[in-house]
Amino acid sequence: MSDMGKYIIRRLLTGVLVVLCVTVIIFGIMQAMPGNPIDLMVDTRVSAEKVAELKARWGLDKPVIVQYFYWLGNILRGDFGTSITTKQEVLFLIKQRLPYTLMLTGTAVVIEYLVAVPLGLAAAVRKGRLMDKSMTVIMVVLWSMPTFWLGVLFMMEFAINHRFFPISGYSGLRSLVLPAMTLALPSLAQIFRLTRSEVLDVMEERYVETACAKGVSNRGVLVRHVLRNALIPVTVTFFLNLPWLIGGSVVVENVFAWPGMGQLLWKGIAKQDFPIVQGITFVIAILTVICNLIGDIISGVLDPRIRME
Amino acid sequence: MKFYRAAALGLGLSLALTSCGGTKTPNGGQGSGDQSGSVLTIAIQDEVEGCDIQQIGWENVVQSLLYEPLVVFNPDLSEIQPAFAESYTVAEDGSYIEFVLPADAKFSNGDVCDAAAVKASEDRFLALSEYAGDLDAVSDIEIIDERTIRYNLSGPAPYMWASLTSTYGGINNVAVAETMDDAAFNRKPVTNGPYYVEEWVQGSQITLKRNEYYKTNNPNVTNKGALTFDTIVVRFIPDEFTRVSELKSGNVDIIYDVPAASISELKSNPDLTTYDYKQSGVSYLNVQTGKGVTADVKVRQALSHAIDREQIKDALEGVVTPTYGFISEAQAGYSAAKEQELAQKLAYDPDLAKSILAEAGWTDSNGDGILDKNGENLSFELLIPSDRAAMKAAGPVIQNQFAAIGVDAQIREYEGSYIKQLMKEDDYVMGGRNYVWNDADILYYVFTAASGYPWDDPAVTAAFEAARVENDVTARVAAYEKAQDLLVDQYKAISVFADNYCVASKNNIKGLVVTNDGRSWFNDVTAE
Repeated sequence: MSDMGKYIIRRLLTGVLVVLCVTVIIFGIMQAMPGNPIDLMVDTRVSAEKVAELKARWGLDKPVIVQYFYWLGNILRGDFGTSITTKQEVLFLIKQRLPYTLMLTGTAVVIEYLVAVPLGLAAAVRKGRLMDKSMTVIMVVLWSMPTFWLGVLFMMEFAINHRFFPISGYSGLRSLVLPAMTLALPSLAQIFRLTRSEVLDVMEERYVETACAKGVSNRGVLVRHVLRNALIPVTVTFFLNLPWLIGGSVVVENVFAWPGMGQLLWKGIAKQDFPIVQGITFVIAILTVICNLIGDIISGVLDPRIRME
Repeated sequence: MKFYRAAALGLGLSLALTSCGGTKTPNGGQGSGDQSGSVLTIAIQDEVEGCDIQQIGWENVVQSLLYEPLVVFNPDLSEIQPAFAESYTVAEDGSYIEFVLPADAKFSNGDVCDAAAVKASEDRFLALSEYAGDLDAVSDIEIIDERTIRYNLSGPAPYMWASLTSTYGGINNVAVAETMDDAAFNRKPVTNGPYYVEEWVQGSQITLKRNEYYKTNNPNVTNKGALTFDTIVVRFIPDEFTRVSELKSGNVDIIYDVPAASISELKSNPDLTTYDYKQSGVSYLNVQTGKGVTADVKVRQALSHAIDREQIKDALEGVVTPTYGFISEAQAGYSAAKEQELAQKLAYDPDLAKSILAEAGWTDSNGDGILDKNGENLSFELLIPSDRAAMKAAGPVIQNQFAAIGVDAQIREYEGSYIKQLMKEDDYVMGGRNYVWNDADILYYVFTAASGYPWDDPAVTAAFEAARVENDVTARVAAYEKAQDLLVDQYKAISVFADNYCVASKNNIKGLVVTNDGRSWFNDVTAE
């Protein structure tokens, strides 16, 4: 087996351990929360006997360790369990919400990278000049904006005052614009700063000076030498961020009544709906491991020095 | 310039990617603002947890559009009237209730809804629902003939009416339920109400279609047949600002759960109509009686007189109504006379409160502004539910009112369910709680051992047990008056207020009925 194959298997085995640790931590945190989902769910007029019956029905009367292994056994068989509050299968709920979340967060990421990478590159090339300084200030302002405030601002201006877009809900791609922009703009700064600093670092490298000295055009130097090398950490960051896209954005989804995973996860936590919270975090944990691995492999492909290490 | 162009191109591409697409309305092109008479759009705060009334723990307008109970309370909760049933009779000795169904009663899928179907539905309710205890007095359900069904009772149980008249009293088509798993039926139940579920987009909206077989005998509505709108779209919009904005922009026709902060604004909007209703219950402070500084009944009495409910109402801009008793006017069993009497007995009187505390030995011996006795300050944690907007806002007001008589109440905000748990564990001094049910019988579940709280007083329990089985309406009200007196005498709890709620609609929506206890009848709703 090649070194790369061994490396991937080693990372996958480590990943299994990481996922197991995450499930234990999440299970522990949920158990540590005060109260329990049945007490949260039932009304005052539900008798104590009925409450006990409901707890037994959901296995909440069993020791925590038994509950954990029962859940783990089921999830390994592909059974994510049933939501305590909605009585729906967790996998069904995730499948219903996931497309909307991917649509929103995916679009936001596309906007982030399409805008931030060129701007970061431009700012680095014009380091210290008006464009660089003004972009840096703008990015700091965007970074500082609370998403709920930005969302309401967009909504008031572009949906209420000028009816360019729907106020809330999903009704086609037009309804995607405001929540996606709200999600993307504050995050632009992170990618912008990363791109800018990486480009500046690479521009200091000797091979860039060499290329310039050999008479390669400015455009050729920037695209073939600077950008290619500077984008390695940006690409890795992209893959590391991917799992969190699945979790959605609670704030933006709430403001725009977007039917995504963020709302589902938030309600699951608020109502201590263990199967929902554990199901979603399990999916996120697995994706984190996979995306980390993909990020590592891609950085190795892009940069032979990393592969050698 | 090339870089600017690249950046502009990137931005343009991203915007193009996101802004291409259809021009559908926010509710999937079904109707925001479409007032052709076929689609009504409603916005509510929380997504329903399910549509099968027998599987869920709380209900809202969605379920009320899917189910028709056999009988209903009239608007002021003083009389039981037919709804799905054509008529009903109660045995003189209270041993049974008999319902006569309409001759051609059908479910939304066209299946016959006869006595056997109703019995099957009630049996399923008793087996499945967490509220099966509401019908614990039903010893068996007997089919008299195809249209007549009899509930035989083990004893008088007038408290049953609140359940039978609510959405929980609606009928499921069990024959269909048995062909699918509970989760599937919970998404698309077949029912006897004015609408049925066409589509439920999780986290977004439910689309309801008109039940062409629907009929009602509810005397409070004019239209007894199928409703006007072909489709009702119920959207779930959790954010308050967004929900209100959708209404003001005309994208939705009716909103429920109007945030307290927006009520006055919507009331003054000439394009909108608002419908007020009240909490079917009260928000109250539960007080520790067994230990600590409030173990002395005089301290509890003083604290009760220290609360200025009118000031709380003003501070909360009128979104609550002060209460002194434990039954609000939106509950069956309410007595205006008793409420008035208790308002005088428990009136805000800080001087009286101070004198009672002085009598109990509490003085400010060290001049720090906090009363003390035997070296112990009159200080405690005031548990405030963070998920109850009105009580959360009232907390600091109450804290100040206590401080004015020298009592140091330190606010601790927790989720309501955690406060409930602390009280069950007897680990509290004072905390905010509330209850909602349109019948005074809820007090039995709050102030007796049935609540799960450790507090139990035999006299109070006996009074509530007697009241809940009293069939005569006048005698029942009197029994609840007596039970409240016993409760108030011990100052076990301090009633503070009932929430005022609001539904808002566009002006062109006519005929909506919202009762004082929050029930909505859509039978006569039209769009002009």
